[in-house]
Amino acid sequence: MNTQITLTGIIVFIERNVYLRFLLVAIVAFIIVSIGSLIELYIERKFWARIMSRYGPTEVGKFGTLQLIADAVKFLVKEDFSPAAADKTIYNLVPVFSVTVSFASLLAIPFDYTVASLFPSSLHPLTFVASNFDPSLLVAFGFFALEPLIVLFGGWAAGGKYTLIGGFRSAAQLISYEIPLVLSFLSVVVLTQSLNLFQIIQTQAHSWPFAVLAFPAFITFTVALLAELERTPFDLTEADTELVSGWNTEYGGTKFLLVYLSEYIRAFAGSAILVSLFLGGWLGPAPIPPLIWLFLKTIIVFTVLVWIRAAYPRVRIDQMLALGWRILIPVSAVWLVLTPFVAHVAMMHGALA
Amino acid sequence: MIVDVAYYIIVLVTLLSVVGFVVTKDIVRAAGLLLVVLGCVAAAFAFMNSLLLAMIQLMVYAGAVIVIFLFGVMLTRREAPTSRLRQLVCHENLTYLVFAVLLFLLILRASMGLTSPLGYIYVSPQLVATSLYVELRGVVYALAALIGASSIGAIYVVRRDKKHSDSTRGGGVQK
Repeated sequence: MNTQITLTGIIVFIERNVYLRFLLVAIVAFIIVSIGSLIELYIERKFWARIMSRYGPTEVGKFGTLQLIADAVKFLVKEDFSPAAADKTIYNLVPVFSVTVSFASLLAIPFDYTVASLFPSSLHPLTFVASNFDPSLLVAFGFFALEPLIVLFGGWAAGGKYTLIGGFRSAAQLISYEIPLVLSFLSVVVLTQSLNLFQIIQTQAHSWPFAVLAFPAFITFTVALLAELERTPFDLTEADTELVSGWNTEYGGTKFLLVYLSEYIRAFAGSAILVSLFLGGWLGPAPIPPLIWLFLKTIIVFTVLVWIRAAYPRVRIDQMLALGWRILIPVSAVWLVLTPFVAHVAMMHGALA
Repeated sequence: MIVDVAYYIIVLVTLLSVVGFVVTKDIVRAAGLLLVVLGCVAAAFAFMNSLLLAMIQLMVYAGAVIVIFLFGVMLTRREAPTSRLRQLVCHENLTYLVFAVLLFLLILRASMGLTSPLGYIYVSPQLVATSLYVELRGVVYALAALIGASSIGAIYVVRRDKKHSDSTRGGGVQK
């Protein structure tokens, strides 16, 4: 009984202090994403290798599971260098900001709710939820929108031609594909009448998944997300044969590790947002807890992204821009206009709560 | 209390970045400092419980407008030309002094007589904001008009100087 009272007291204390709530969600997100990023890296190596009829890592640890630790140690012990032509201050700050912004976009994803739901039902799990605030979707995309700047500054500050061209390409691509991305999620906002990711998932509990109800938006969002994450077939910014490694060519050692980590954190955040918007977030049959559902769906979406990466060749820059401006933007805009009618019809037939 | 301290730190960073933005000779760094200013303004909106506005500020101004600036800047010259504007800003410290004194006096006037419900003198951002935008709004509008007029004047001075330098170089035709 005493324990019960103490726990309730802690919950009330956390609930009343908004900064503690944000700290809580930050800690939860950090733990989940750290584990998620490691799993993503392992899946990417093994799955990609399997598609290409290779083995992937096998030597370090059981099935190569410790290869990631070996890679991390390798990066950490490498010499820390800066190119002579670099703008040292900005060059050194870019990896730090890149990781920070990537982590910040996770603030809106309701991982904390899924953790809270593991507690006894007598303690209302909703009291824990720090990510349950009104424009949480905008917060996620607000921090996503800062990435082009970081890439541009990183490419410029390194002082190389490849890095600068890579930075420009990257910024052009990210800005172009932000428009269909935003137009696509706006159709979900119209369906749910909310900018809160938590409420968007709750709405899907009594409706069809929005991947079905807003299928064109789901497709445009997925394609735009691939481009936003700069993954194949949209990895023009890191086109090895043209730009060595794009904007991060001159980064090495710990700095490269941070840049690399931020890419996977963004991939995890992007997959989690897609799952929350279109695939019902943590919703699933009861025996499996919500935390596992959300995590599992996110990893499955990421695996599909890896599959696309392994299956498709890189598009040309004109094809990439044409796809964005001539197909994705018109389709997502037209769908956005049609969404209120779809919502009306779906409500009449009980497909939308 | 912690929130107020954080708010004032953000205000301080904003002011320092604004000064850095104006005086720095490296134009890309200037754009970086402008980004800091816009990010701090977004944080200030968030502190005022206006998260929607904060995110719009972050997405549109910090996220998109600065990228356009950077595209323009990085594809042209890295060093900013020494213009009459820079001379005005960098060498006439009197301008800084006048603005700093005016701002200080304004905030001092806004803070006078504000006491907390418990009796001790404590000035919160909300109280200062109320005082500035309700009681002293005439002075604030006058200062804003002055800053606007000085910006237009600066643009005029730069354009005039550019026209003059083009004509001395032979018609302003550049290869």
